[in-house]
Amino acid sequence: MYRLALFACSALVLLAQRQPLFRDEVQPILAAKCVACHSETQKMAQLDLSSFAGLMAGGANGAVLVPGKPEMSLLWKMVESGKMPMGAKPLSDAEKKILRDYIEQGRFPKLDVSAQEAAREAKIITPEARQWWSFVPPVKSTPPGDGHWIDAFVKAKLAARGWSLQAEAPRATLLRRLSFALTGLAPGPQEVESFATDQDPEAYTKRVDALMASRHFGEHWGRHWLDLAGYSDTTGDAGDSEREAMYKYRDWVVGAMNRNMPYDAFVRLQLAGDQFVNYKPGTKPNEQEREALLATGYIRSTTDITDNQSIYQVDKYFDAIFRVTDTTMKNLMGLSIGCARCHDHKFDPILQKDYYRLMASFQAVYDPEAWLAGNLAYGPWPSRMVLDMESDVAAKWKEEVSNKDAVALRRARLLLEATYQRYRTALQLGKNIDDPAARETIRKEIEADPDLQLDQDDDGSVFPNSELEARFPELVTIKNEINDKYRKKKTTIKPEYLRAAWDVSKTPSPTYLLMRGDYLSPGPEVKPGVLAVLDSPTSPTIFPDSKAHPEWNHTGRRMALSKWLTRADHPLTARVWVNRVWQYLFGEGLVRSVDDFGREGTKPTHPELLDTLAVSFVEHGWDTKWLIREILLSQTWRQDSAADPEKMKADPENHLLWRKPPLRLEAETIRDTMLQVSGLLQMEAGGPPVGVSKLPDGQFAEDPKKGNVNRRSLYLSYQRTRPVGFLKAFDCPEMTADNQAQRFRSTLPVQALALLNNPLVMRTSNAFAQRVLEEAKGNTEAAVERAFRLAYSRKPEQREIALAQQTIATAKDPAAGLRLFLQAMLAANEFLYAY
Amino acid sequence: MMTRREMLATVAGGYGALAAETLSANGYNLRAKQPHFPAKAKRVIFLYVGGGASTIDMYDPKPVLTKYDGKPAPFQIKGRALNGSQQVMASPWSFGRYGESGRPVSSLLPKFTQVVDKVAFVRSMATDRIDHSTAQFTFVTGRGFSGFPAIGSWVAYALGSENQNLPAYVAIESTRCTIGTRAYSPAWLPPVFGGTVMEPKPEAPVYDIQRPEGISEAQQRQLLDTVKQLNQKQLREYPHDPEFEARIANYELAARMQLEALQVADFKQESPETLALYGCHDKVAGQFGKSCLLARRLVESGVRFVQVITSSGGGNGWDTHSNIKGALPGLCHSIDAGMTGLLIDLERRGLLDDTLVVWSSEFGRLPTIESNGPRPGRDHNPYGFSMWMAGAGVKAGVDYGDTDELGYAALPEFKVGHSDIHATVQHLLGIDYQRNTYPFEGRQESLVGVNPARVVKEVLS
Repeated sequence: MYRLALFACSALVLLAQRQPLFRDEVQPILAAKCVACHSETQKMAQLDLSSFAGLMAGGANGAVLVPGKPEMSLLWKMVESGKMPMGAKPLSDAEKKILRDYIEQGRFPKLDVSAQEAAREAKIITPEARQWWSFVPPVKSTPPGDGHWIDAFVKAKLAARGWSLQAEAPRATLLRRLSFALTGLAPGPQEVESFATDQDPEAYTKRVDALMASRHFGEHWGRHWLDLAGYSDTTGDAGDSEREAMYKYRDWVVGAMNRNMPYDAFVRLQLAGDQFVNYKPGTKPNEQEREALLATGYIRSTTDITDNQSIYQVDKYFDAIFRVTDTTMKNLMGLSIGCARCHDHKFDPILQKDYYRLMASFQAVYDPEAWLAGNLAYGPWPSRMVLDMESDVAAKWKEEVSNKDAVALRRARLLLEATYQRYRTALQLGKNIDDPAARETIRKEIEADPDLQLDQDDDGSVFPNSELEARFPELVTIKNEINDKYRKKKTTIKPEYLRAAWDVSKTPSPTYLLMRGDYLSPGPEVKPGVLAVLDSPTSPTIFPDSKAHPEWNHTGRRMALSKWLTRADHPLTARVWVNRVWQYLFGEGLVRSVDDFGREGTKPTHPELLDTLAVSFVEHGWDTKWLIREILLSQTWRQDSAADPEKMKADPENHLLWRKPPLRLEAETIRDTMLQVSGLLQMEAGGPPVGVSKLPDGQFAEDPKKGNVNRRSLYLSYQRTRPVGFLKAFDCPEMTADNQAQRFRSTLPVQALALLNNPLVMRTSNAFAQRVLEEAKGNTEAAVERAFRLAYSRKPEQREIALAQQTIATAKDPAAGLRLFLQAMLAANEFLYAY
Repeated sequence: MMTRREMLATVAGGYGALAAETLSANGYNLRAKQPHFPAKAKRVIFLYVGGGASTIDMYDPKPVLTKYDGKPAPFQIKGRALNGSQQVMASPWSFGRYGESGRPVSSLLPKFTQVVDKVAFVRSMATDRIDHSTAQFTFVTGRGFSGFPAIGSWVAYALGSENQNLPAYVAIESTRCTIGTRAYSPAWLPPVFGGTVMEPKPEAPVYDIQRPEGISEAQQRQLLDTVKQLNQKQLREYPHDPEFEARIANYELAARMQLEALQVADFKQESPETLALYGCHDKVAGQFGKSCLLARRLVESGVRFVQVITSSGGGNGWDTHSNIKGALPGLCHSIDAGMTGLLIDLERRGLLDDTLVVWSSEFGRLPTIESNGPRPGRDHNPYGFSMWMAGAGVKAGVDYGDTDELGYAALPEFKVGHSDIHATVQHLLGIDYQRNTYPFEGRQESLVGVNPARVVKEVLS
């Protein structure tokens, strides 16, 4: 059972006469007509009509609303009779109808919780349920043998079958494997050479340490985390608009990985950085605050389809808060709690109430009753952005961008841009728009469109704006008008902002348990808290009351949640992370279902190893680099990847870890290594992403007009609906499903097509050929040898030299032949895998 | 010089006995699979009209509207705007009755009148989403949010493909819709089940299908051969890892795909009469017409699910909030020839017997005007609209359901949602829509999920 599906069925019933929504329809009426007297501060007759809670609480005369019964509701009686609003214009008929419909058809919280509820919960949260393997804190075991402690656990299992670890991989293979795993780049020929001949017994350890100290470590491991966060440079709304400044979070993650920030702190800052530094919204963050706020970009990376439509947003608000809750719990605890949105979890001991307890922590960030706009075109500024400017400058800038002129300017520019686009579309479709009246019709339509959107994929090259301007003079006129009218009023301040999460207020709207996940069916109010099954039955975790902390600028909820998640004895957090780290290195986790440590998931193949890793990791201060280093120093990791036929037959999935399996490289690593070996790769770190544009064949690719196209893939713009074609072919996720914990490693013909025909491959193989020819001073044979050392970290075999010669000879021009051979090298399996 | 075919034979011959197939993660592939029960339809062409087509001006005349034309509606009409206009606007177009079934078609669709007998209308569609993005997500994924697999992905997952040289699921964007690539995204289903974008462009119908400029056929042949030679090393060193073999086989597959995709997108073999039938040369109707023709050629080649997407035509979008009188004729003109030609052409080729054609929009438009002014339009109407199906297993010439006298809301007893259509389409393909599931986040997910859904048997033969 899932998500809003259930919302859908309940709403279907009401289709023909949809009941009014409190926030979008009822609240504005109350705000306009009643709140002047009945507000939180001006509480006449002790009645506060400024919020849903206030409405339901009633006033001095008791309840003002009887669900389903307008005639018995004081609110309706006063309004209908015209007694209220006192001394003001009565409600219009339409407004009255909305109120009446709402009382009659709206859904209201069931405010009493029956005793049966508690009994039902006790049946789910049983002592046995608490004993599920992953709910019990991990315990360290003594390694059952000699040698590296990780190997001892693995070897014991292998020995039970009469097997052992395979021999260590050859040095070049090992270094290549290591380099890809730690940095996502291939080792250089000299490094391969020096490692191959290094007699130092610490030679391998030294390479591990050196690669972990490289700043490329953070770029590669940061990307793993960004997959979990569901990082994207676009929002995921209808037009998939750009998410400005999001890249600062990406850079924060890379930096945190490179600085080896302890994992517990890494998690706490991302969930609640703003609260830990007690950031005061609206102020210029100091250096420490900026750092903490950047981390909370994690919470802002969720898909958010709230767009510029004026109403009917409430379901989308809930979608965002549901997603951030689900994704975070999945990422950190390896539990899919989504089912509990609609009902108690069918398989795991997770109560529906648990879901909303956890969700309540995010309520103050994504408050459906006080929504912060996701983009500039909609809602009040500054929305999701923290302005990183002195307060007076920030205030001035806000004034400048949010005043009527600025809004009008944005609208005027949008209309003009849309006019170009629609003219262009008309011409492309062969429509005759030479008649000014036809064009006026188009412009009128655009003006009348309440949810006007630009076509993000508009191909401006076919009928460029300049050509349109030459043909249709009104475009120039409009453009000049805009320039003249707004020239003086243009803002002069360059904004500095970052995307962060903070609590909208210390008293966010209440979190209700939503019956069947339907926000129109709120049940009892739920207080923030944690999963019952992981909580102490005798002294449950109680979140701090922010009212008791007048010095706080926040609710303290996410802080409390993150502290609970990173408790040393939390049974899941460390286990889930060490398992992910294992998966990044071996392709599969010790628990194969990396996102599901519940009953529907798989059990660990090596439970003692997993637990010992988890406990030791926490004992070492949640030190991720320590953890990675321990694994990399094991023989389990260093062993050969070749498949032994007997073991392959008996254990094809490598559950017993009898080899280190060969793994196809991730999309980014393939692209980066192509650029690297061809000498094109630019190592510039961080900053705004390199933009993408549509190629003539329809796919998107990095655009030289929008940045340096030779940067690492991490720095390309990740767009949910405009994925870079080459990366998409190799399973780079589009984050349409919020996040992706584990990359697919598919084998598809589109990959072969990309390696044959994609412009990237042509560009890199050209440069590669030039590079090796130059380095070999024009000697083709030497150039081929150089290419093998660069791309495959080894010398070519005799057979391969002959193949190269033969391939090159087929071309009229040896340089072209060499390029062809090098393209084949980049397209071959040796290049695409870490062995 | 070798022909392309000879070259492929040479290349393919070297790959040994391994059956060429597409391997996705976890061993998912596109091999044709048996349906759950005997299927009426083998393949689907899904015509996706994004933006909200005004079906009351196209297929569903409501004579009562004339009575109220310019006057307030007799009951409250809700659009998106809180205080939306209540002023009824009769359809500005005349309707005639056509075919043996004598069903009404407006003057906007003169060609469609020829095929009205071939289709079954569902005239009582309703959805719970009122804005484009959420309604379009519902339209093709069953959920009002991004992040769920599209119907074509579910079908490809269940049935695979009958042609391993082409994708199982193709999306043709005659024009791009509001939700972009998410209209054919596999979401969390393995990527092999995602919609592959194709365009009716003979030179570049699929990404990366065309040889790069300056690379001759001979050079590419050499390239393939060299890659094959280089790959021998892994075959020797990893003889027991099928993945390496599969990857080698994929080059063969890619080469065949290159050939076949270019062939399928090449309309040279189509007669002038056929091109005219689809309106291929018409300035306004050409793009959609060519997309429909490509769709026919694809299903003919064994592609399982083709989704033709359009959101505008004649220089206007289907989202006719204003100037519906000016815009709708061009919009209808843009699809009339394509969809009509498709049905005629499929039938005369004997393909309509086992090909299902589905036409729908995410929602319809209200019988009222959206705003006063010289060029009124109609607002979104999720409460009642029409869609049609034709071909395999569909009872031609029947209607199911109705809306109220104004064409505003579906009559409750007949209400059909997008999930019902999803169930029906799968049913016709021999798929038990409740058994076509995939494990996701600890659950067995399906296209309809927990939505109430039923097969609309009333329109099935």
